[in-house]
Amino acid sequence: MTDSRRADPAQSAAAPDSQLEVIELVSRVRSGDRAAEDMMVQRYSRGIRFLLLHLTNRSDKVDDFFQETMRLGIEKVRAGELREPEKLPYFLRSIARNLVIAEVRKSRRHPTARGGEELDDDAEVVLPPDSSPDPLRRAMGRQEASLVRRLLARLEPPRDREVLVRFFVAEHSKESICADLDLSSLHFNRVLYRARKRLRKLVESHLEGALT
Amino acid sequence: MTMDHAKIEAENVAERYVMGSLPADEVEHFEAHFLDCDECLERLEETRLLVHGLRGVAAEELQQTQAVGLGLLAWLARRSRGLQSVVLMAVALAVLAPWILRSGGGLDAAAPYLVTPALVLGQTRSAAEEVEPDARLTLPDDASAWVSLALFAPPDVPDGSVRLRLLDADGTTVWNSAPTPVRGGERVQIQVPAARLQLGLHVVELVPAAAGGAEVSEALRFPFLVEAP
Repeated sequence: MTDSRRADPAQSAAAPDSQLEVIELVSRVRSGDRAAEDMMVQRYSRGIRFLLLHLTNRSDKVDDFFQETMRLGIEKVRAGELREPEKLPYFLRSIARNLVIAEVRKSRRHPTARGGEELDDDAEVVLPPDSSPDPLRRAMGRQEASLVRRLLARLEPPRDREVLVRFFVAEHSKESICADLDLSSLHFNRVLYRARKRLRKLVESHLEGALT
Repeated sequence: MTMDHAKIEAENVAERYVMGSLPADEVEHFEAHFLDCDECLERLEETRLLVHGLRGVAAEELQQTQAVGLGLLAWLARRSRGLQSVVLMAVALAVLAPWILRSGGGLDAAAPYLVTPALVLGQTRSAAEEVEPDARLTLPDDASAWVSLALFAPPDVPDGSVRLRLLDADGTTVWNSAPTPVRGGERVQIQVPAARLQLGLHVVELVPAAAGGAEVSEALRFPFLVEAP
């Protein structure tokens, strides 16, 4: 523990290790430690990128949003704007979302809720899907569909296919699917887990084949 | 709110997040959690790939079967709604019959969820139309069947997300979609289990919305009448 850590030592002793790491990291960034800034970027890179991809559905925009999120995050931590260091993930999440919201508001007419009220900053907004005829994006979409077709063809029993399509495509509730197919919640989750892992293997084999 | 792995697993939090059906308060805590959790990120990345792939397969199969009918649908939207339902039903059945029989590698195990007959809905222009709409659907004999409803988002709908709701004759919401990206003028198709429909007036509402559910303008209404077989 460093003397510069803001957390109460007695409280910190009960906090999970990861939380202590975050508090330590914030303290070091706050004091201008460049190595700590790099660590912060590395630690949250995967998560922030996934969040941005989920919000925008635009892989071509993720890098720019990510760079800006981390730049602002580091700047604000250095300036002491993060008052609860253990809340760093919430802080970065908020920065990422606000950047996306600002971009959406710039790119289309400014929406207002009923009664002329402004949408609050926590409202989720989604960038319009990119309709540009990008051959790479179309090719990637076809590739995903092709791999999933192979997955579906190999799934046994056939009921597993029904679970996946009903849950992910038709958006039925888990409860209704389990009731209709006489599945327990645990069994339902196992179907999803098996499908994810098998698809991952198919993707990895596909990529290995592409590289050789 | 505690967001731990027991809850994430039991309640399929990651899956519901990817599909956009997680409540806003849970979204906040889950996002803050996964930013720092490799296990959840792996699950999210795999789920996203699975969901996109499945929906891509579904879209491909629908496109293949509706490619012939698509040009016709735009023409139909400008005609009387009575003519729409008759003509479209005939075309949809003719186009879809080969797809229904196809097997292997596709979604045939779930074909009941993607099969039409389809009904194209028109937006209400008057109270009289809402009480006695031209769009009429005959309830299938098979209670496990699905029906497909299509509508065109008006050209002046702001590009972005919409929510779709299906209301029954009592005004009860029987189905509510997650926010769905739609452009003005775009065709939207909804698959509904026949078991959710009663005899009488139903309405599909299309509401431009921010993805988290905040509605940004009045609902547009597309009524139809469900009749006995």
